[in-house]
Amino acid sequence: MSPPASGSGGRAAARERRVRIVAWTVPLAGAGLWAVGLILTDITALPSFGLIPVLAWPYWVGLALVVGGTTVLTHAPRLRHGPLLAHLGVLIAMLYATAPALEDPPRYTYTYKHVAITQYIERYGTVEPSIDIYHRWPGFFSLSAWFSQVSGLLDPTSYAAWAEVYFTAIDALLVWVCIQAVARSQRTAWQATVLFTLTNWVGQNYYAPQAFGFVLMLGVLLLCLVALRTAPGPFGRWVERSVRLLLRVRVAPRDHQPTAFRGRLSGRTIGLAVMFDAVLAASHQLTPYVLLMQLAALVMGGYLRPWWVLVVTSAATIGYLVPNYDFVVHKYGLLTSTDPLANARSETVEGVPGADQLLIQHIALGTAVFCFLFAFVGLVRRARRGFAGDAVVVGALIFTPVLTLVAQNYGGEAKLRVYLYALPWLCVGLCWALSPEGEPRARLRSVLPVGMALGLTVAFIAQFLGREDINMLSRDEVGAAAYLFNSSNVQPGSIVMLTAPNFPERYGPLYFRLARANLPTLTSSDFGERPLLFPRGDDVEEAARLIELEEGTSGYLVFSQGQEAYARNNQLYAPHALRAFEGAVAQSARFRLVYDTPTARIYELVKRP
Amino acid sequence: MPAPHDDAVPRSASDVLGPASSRTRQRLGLALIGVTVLAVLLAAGQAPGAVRVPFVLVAATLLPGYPIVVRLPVDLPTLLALDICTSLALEAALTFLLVQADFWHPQGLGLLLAVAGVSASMLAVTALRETPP
Repeated sequence: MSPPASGSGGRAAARERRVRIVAWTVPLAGAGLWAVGLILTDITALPSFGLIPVLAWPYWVGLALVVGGTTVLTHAPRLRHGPLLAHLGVLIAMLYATAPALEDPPRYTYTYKHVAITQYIERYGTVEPSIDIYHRWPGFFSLSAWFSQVSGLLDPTSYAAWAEVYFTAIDALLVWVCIQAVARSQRTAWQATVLFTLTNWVGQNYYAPQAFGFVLMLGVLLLCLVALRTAPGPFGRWVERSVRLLLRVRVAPRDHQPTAFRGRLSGRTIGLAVMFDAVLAASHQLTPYVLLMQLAALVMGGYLRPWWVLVVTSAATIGYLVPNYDFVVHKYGLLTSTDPLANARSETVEGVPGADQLLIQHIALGTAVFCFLFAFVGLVRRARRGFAGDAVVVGALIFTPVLTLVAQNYGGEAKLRVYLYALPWLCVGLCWALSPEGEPRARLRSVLPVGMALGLTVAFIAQFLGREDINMLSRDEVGAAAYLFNSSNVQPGSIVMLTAPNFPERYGPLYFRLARANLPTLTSSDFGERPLLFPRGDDVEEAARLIELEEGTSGYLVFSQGQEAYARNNQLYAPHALRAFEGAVAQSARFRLVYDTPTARIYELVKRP
Repeated sequence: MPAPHDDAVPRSASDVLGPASSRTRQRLGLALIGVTVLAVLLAAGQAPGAVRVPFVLVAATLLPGYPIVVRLPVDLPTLLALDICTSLALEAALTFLLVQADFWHPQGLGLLLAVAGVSASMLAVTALRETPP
């Protein structure tokens, strides 16, 4: 039996016991509140701002508790890895698993086009490059098709919703180890990983090649940082000297400690890096080029050796593009514009966003600007502590993805992708802004990081769950897509006309057999540039005429909850106009209802005798 | 003017995890072998997808890469991260080849990966006992 503890020792032990209990209780309580919150939440009719108005109060209490607890733990004098891991796990669940847990089919209409390609491979065991670009970069889809077959979940829609949680968890691990390698601090690694989880609102972790590509990209960078990072070359030294002069750094250089593992694993590391890059080149169109830019920046500074790693990875990436070059150039163009501002301003959204959507957009923009500015402050503070090399390396990793904007708008998404690629490194900068050497911030000094984490959480929720009225799909809507792509219902070569974007327009392995006809007419021009306030009989006739113009075997007009939400949030039509138009379609002899559910209707165009 | 060297500042600001121990690596390997064997048995027994998925997911995410990265002298989180990337990249590469070659045999590839992965992992675990990294 141990002797009784002395006064101060006993108090310290009792305090330690209390802290340990609290550290484990918070994630457990958070998980419990999350579960109760989900049970109490009703998502049958989502208003503007998506899930935010309908999520029950236990969810919010639990989220605040876990965000606060996690942040305090990462800044506490002693790091507790077990409780931190539990906190991070619950945090990932609360942020990324809420939508899949509440909703039945996977969210985002564009998930279904990815599912469709996977299903094509499952059915035919091959790809057909003439169909579309996805068949030319099938790395992710072939992997997913294989997983469907060996797991027994033959329909990827049964697990696609959870891809967001799976990839986020893997990203969190990769970010943790990358940051540990670059900052040489477990505390900074924890802080940056938590911030990464709170700021990754771009929604690129869903069932898509981008999520897989991001994992491989981080894998290559991890190998470079762990095993191939070296002291800077002449250019890197010049940059560091310039930084030190510019910032009037008064302490001696303290970075460039050789990596403990370097030299012992270079050969295998390079082999793995090349393999990751080759698979990445066959899986995603943009990520390998951003990775090449990051590697080039590191090689130029002499931070990455041997330099020929860049040559080999470039050969893999460009070598994969060569046979697909003509297709890409003719279909999309290699460069959309050389004006970075035009590329950054490019949008994917049709219509004019309403006030609520604008608010969400401003929050997103504000978060991104805050992250870049505050990260820059962090780089300066890190450099001023004598770690100019670290600041230069992280700065290079942050700012090279921005060069994407010089060449591409990537279908209006370039700015989102730039933010994603820079995000892990932005988070290191954010951490250094508060604690340049990963020092703890106990008691009152932890108020600032907790406040920042809660603010970023609000921004995340606004962006990630505040559009769920658009992102969510009902079982009926997916059923409508299945109806359309079932050849016993709809003949191949038919025309499907949507009343607005936001419907799974490509569904199933035979997704390419129907053509889509847009309905720009209802938004403005072909209807005489008048808002569709009071639909007339000739509006219906005009829609029928436009379908017939496409000369399909038959024509269909689709109305759905998701399209209606999209049209409402982006002011495609005057309020209630879409419903009024559907009423006119329903009464018209030109269309007949063939699929009727509360959240999706399909009208078939009646052929003229 | 370059800043003077300030020796009052400690030169080392490193606070990183040390390499994972041989025992940890062995335990990880044995756990993966167990999970994979279970996954194969469940697949052979035509178990429902919901039962099979957790085992298949863990095995697919970690097993093929384990024998390749297990001897890298890195800490446990880095080892796991590299294991995941290697496993997913290897599987994606192999399935990509099957698709391009029009030789689609997913179950066969799964079995091959399981057998090769378990065998190589057993060898790696045994080797770890004799010669730690």
